Amino acid sequence: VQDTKKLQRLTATLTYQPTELANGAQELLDEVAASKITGEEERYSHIDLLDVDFNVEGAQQAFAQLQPALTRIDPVLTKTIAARFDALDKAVDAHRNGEDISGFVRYTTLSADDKRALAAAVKAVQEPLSRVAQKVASQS
Amino acid sequence: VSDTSRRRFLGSALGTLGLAAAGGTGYAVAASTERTDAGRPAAQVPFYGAHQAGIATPAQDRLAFAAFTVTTQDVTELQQMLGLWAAAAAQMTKGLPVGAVETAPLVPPIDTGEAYGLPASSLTITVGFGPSLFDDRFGLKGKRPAALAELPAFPGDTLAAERSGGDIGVQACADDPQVAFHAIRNFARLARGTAVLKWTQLGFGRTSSTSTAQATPRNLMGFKDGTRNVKAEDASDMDRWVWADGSDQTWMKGGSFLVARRIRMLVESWDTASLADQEQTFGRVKDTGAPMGKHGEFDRPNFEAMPANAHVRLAAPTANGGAKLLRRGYSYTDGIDPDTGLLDAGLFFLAYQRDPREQFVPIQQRLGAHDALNEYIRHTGSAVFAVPPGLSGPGDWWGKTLFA
Repeated sequence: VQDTKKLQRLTATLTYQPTELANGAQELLDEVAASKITGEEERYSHIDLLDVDFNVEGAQQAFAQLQPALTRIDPVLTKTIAARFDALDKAVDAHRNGEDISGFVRYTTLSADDKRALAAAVKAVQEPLSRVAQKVASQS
Repeated sequence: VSDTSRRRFLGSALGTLGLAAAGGTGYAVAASTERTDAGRPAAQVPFYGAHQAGIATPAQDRLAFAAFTVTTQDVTELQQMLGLWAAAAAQMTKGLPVGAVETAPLVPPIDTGEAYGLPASSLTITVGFGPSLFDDRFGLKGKRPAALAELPAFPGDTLAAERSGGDIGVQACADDPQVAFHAIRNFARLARGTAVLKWTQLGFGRTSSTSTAQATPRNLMGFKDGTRNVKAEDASDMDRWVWADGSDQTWMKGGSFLVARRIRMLVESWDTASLADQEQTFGRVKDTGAPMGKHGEFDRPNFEAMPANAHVRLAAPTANGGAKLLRRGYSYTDGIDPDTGLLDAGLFFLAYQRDPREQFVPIQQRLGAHDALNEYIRHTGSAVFAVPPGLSGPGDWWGKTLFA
């Protein structure tokens, strides 16, 4: 508990550069696209969807930090990314299952079409998100 | 072309879609930093014209084909993607990248870059719409041409769903495989969030001649097939058998209908068939390509000299009420069949026509039921697309009149 509090105190004052946030969001999604969609990370427990959910949430939080500034720089791009994050959320939420301890169905039950839809939803965010770092860097 | 006119060009391409700005929703296609090389090899096929290029164009050596599934429910996003594709295609068919290859350090390059520095290589990009696009999603139900009917099941079909269908089909042909692949890859990238790839097919060598200036190539069975193909120089055949008249849907006037069939050849079985068997199966002499009993490839066939189920005899226009197709297929190989270790290779058959119901369908019903070749082939994929007419110029895009 002590450590957690210490960690909270430290992170509260941490500030990230806008480009770090943008790249961090992209890296979290890259992880999803590159290894989690293939089901190779949780080879034994098959709770990959929980990992996916964490990564997506993390990426979304990083993006949320940038959103106010980015909206001023490029409102259309910001809206596109936000809408695609919403679509990705929906694609992940479709596999929620309250009865499983992970909160999601086991990854092994997903069909090839399910996995392709998830991968496409991730890519749909990544493509416009990849243009954010340059935008925020040029303004800071 | 100067920077400013290029910008104006992009502006007009997107302006017609009612978009405020390109920056947020798509790429800055045709951004300002591209080169304007003079002195490239002349092999450029004009992108704009009454008909889409890639049909009457003398068949290039290489193919990259892709079928897309549209994932957005928003018709504006779909139109925007088709507009971006058109702007990108206008660039790539000139041998230019879709946008800057060298960009700012923190942003990915606009063009993927693998065709950078390569000539246009006769690249053509031909786009068509599948029957599934005309459902409830985009309000196109009443715009579906009658000729764009789903193909019926044919005798002997062994189609795989994952190699069949698609809302949109894109045929990229070029004399360099990297140039053709580059076009498909960048289309898929521009489609991100709007459409996804459903299946793709590479073709490594043309199997058809679509011009009298071209020799007839051999297929993977070692035969010349398609000697009597519709040739681009024959205007009356093109009008009679290839170009759609748009009688029921005016947006298709000057377009064509494309049937794609992935036809696997059991090449190992074929290779153990005797020469006499092979020649009787096709109805041609293997060496010269002459019809059986004749000497030259282009001699008039004597069908009576062939077995009743010979391929050439059954596929001939005289056996099919005069019906002809413009065939534009490619040989393919996709490695080996994991179950048997046999080559997965054959013909990716592409045929343009005015109305598949009166051309491909009756011909294939006859071939599927009787063709001696059936012992050695399997149809493993199938798709049909309505290919709209050509784009008139910058600002026009595929399906603009369809959505109007």
